[in-house]
Amino acid sequence: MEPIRAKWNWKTNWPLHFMLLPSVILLFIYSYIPMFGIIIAFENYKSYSGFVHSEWVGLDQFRLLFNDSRVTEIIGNTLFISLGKMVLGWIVPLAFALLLNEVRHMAIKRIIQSFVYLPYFISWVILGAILTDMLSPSGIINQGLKALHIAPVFFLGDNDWFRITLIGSDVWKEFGFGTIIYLAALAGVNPALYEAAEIDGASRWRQTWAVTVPSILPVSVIIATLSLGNILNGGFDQVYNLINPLVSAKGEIIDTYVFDMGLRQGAFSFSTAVGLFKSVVSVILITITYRMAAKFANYRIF
Amino acid sequence: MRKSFKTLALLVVACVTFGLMSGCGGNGSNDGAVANKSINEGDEVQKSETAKDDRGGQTVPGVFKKYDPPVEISISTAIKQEDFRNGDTLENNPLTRWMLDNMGVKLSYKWVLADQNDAFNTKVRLALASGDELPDVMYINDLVVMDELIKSGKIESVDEAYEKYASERTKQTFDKNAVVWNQVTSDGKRWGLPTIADPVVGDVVMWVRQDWLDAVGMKAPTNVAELDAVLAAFKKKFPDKTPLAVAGKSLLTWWMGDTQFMFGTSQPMTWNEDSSGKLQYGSIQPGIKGALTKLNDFYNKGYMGKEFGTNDEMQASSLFTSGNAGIIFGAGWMGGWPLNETAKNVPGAVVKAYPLPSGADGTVGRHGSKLSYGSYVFRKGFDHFDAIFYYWDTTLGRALEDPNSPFAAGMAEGYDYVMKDGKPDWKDIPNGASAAIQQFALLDPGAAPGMIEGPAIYERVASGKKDNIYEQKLAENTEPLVIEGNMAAYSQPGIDRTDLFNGASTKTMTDKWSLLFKSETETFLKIIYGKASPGEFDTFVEKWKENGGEQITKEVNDWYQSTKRG
Repeated sequence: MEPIRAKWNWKTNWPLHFMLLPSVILLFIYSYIPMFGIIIAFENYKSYSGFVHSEWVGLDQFRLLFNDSRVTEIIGNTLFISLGKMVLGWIVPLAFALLLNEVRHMAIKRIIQSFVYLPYFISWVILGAILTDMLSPSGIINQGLKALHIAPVFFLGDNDWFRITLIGSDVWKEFGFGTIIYLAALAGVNPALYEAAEIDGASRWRQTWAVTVPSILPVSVIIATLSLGNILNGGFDQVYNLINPLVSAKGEIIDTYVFDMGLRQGAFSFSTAVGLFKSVVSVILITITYRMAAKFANYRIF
Repeated sequence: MRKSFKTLALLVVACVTFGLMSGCGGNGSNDGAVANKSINEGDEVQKSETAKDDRGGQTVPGVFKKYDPPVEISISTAIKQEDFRNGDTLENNPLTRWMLDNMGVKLSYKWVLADQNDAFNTKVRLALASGDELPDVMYINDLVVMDELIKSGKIESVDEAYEKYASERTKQTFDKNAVVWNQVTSDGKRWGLPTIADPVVGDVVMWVRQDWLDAVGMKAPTNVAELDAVLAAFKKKFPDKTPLAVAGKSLLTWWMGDTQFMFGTSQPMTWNEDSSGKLQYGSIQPGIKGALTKLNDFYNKGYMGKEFGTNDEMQASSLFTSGNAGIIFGAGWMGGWPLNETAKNVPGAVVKAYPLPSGADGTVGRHGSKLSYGSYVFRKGFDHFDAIFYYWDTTLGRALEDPNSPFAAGMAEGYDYVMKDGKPDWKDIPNGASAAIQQFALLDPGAAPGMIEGPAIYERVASGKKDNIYEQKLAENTEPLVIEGNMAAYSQPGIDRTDLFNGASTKTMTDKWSLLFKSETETFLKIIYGKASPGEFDTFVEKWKENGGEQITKEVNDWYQSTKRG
């Protein structure tokens, strides 16, 4: 079914365009003009020489990024951590929203919803300190493990556990937010569908599979699509506040590395090069997944 | 249905985008926390031939005359804390009024920024890139920015003006601390006036719970074996507490909860001269291995707590202030904050400062404070250097304990002192004492190490001396525990291994340092935790050299040579 494209009538619609104008101008000034700054990724930028006169080094900054085996390690860490967060951060809120949707007692539903949403508002700076304390070898979690006769785990000081801790704590912090989106989608499902299913004799389980899941699938596909753009973001705030030398081999991500390079060492060109690399990868991934979403879930934004 | 779904989709897009945006707001690093400007220190000012005028400042005789009509000098500031009183403003307060009345100089602000997210450095860089005019005077505390300014050719060399206008005591102070010039020297010229940091205030001492020490009937340790014994006794007496509070998260040798005493004279993370006068990086010296091995021994004996590697400085010190640790190493000023909390939190707790014990190899050593916290630079074409050096000398008088200095009692009445019956008072100030005004001074030369003979002011005040106004002020406005801490630091002169590399990052450093430093902290911590054998240290040194360290050492020495004049 082709959507019917109404002919655009300039005469009657010009006020709409006029209202849009300020945002377009702002977008142009603050988002498009600065894009020319990408040029410094190919230079050895020095503030006193400016954009135009800094030494042109071509792809040297990118070589610095890929030629060092330790940097490749950091990219690997980033992929592992962000993929983990992405997959779990997609499944957990979905599952939780489906379960919560089955709770018929509104008050309980709302209370649970608020509680899981709370951590979303706490900054990683604060959560970092809280987690360091709770997850320490003598912290409350390990005391609980001890009571169950499980050997204590140094969550933040052990290379294998650190990444799992990162993913786990991120999912815990963020899933309340995702849940709300899914719940909103669930609220939009036409009740007539459930009624029809019930008349046909479908069990609740069957209703979930045949009505609920297909209804919110498009939303979940968009969320997955958009989150793919984050594939090279491991979550700076979180990692920066939790990382320590014991786990830097497995926990260092691109963003914390760039932070060090750009702000501590003043390597602006390198930082820009990394930023550009990340953006290019994101654009490619988003384009691919968007096309897939359009094909398989028949969902289009544009 | 279709329509409501579209609305929902837009909502999702909006939410997710917003989430992304809010997620990427970085949080600034806190590594500027030690940038306390040092305060006064010194004794009788050396007699000099220079004339003294009735305003208390000195300059080469007859050179500086009050400007009439007044001239304007433009400056800039990144405001840390604003605390103006009695209707004062940024451009009209006791500091600016003094300059206008006594020097005929009017201060105006070209840039007023908030001190966050590196705003000031960004502003300087933007001005350089866009060709905007710089303020007449700027305070630069970032060595990379300093380097960019020097290379931009937009700042004036101070050489000529220094020869012409600097007072005798200004020159003497710089001669005694000539190494601070390195950070502003390039091509044989000096491009700014460096501040001089007090070399001892900020140095690490050993803070001990005296009541614990008494409980186990022991004396304060003076070497590593005695420390071992004391920690063991603490461990036995208080099995559920942590004998030694250490912060391992960022560095092992920093401002609170550090372990630098253990390294003795081979201090890591600093550049020091070897026997041939070349700079060598401390962390790769052979002495480090023994210290790490000993720290590993301490860890194995349970002195440091299993989680010390994830604790930052605040967490380590709160371990002590909550009464859960017996010893913490940290700066002398820790007595004022945060250690003064200890007695409030734990009834009966007594905190005392002691000199550092000797380290693993039997030598005593520590990092030492920074040489300088920053430099003042002057716009190309700036031509009121006579006023600059006059004011520099006037404020330097504070560091020299000059009784005639107009700022002897404090920088601004009503802020850090009040006059009562013709006498200064530092305690009874309406709204409380505030040093916030000091950040707005045109110039603040810092300390004047080596200029005052005899015991340092902290030692004098600690021994009860209150003769000159500076001693009276220190005794009145400083917590006794801070005086005690700084005194402990002063009691060990000559053990500082001060970092001599105060230039901008070199080329290879910019590219490689981040990773090299990571491998360093990682190796150190792993050895202490026993996750790597001490032999791993040798591998680290080899790799360090291979992965750019050797080249960096060469570049650092090239820089060091380039700072030598004539």
